[in-house]
Amino acid sequence: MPETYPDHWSFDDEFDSGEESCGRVIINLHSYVKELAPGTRLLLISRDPAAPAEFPAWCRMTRNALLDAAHPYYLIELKPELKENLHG
Amino acid sequence: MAEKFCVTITHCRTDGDKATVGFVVANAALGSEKDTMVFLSTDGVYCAVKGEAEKIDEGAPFAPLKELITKFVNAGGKICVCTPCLKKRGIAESDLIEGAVPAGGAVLVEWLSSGSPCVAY
Repeated sequence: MPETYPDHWSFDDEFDSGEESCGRVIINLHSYVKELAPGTRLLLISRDPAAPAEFPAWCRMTRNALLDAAHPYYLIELKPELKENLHG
Repeated sequence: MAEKFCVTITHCRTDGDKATVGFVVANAALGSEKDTMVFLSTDGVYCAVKGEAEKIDEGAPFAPLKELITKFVNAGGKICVCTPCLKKRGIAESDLIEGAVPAGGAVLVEWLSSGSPCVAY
């Protein structure tokens, strides 16, 4: 596993779920991101071996955008559809 | 949250493993923005009885049952508890934890009939 996320990734916040899995990481992640604004770019770190399957599924269901993945690092943009359109 | 999800749990004292995994999946559904209901029946009603969930801890990687239930309720999950199953066991509504409400078959059937998937433990 890479020791750090890819150099070209940029993000506003990060959430490290360690080795937690299944509903435990999902409910913790859900509670964490609900305080964050749409458009926030989040670095998610998860060493759960199921993470490559789990987070794409979670992103599809919650309409968050999985921008890139390099297990155990995941780059997510929260609710891009709800971002304020600053240019009208 | 437009989409619904249901988890039915029929164990607590009889099988803490199943009660625990049931609430793990309920938390996964709720955390995936599904409007989620846990329906407790038969022995599962004990999950919502004050002081009972504290007795169940399956150990790592699972959180103690009480913690799973508290997270579920605090995140907006619904817990419905089979009324005749409570009565059979001499359990009163006042014995239930906050966030759990007595309900019957009509509530479960209406929830599932609206198109909700359901998984049972």
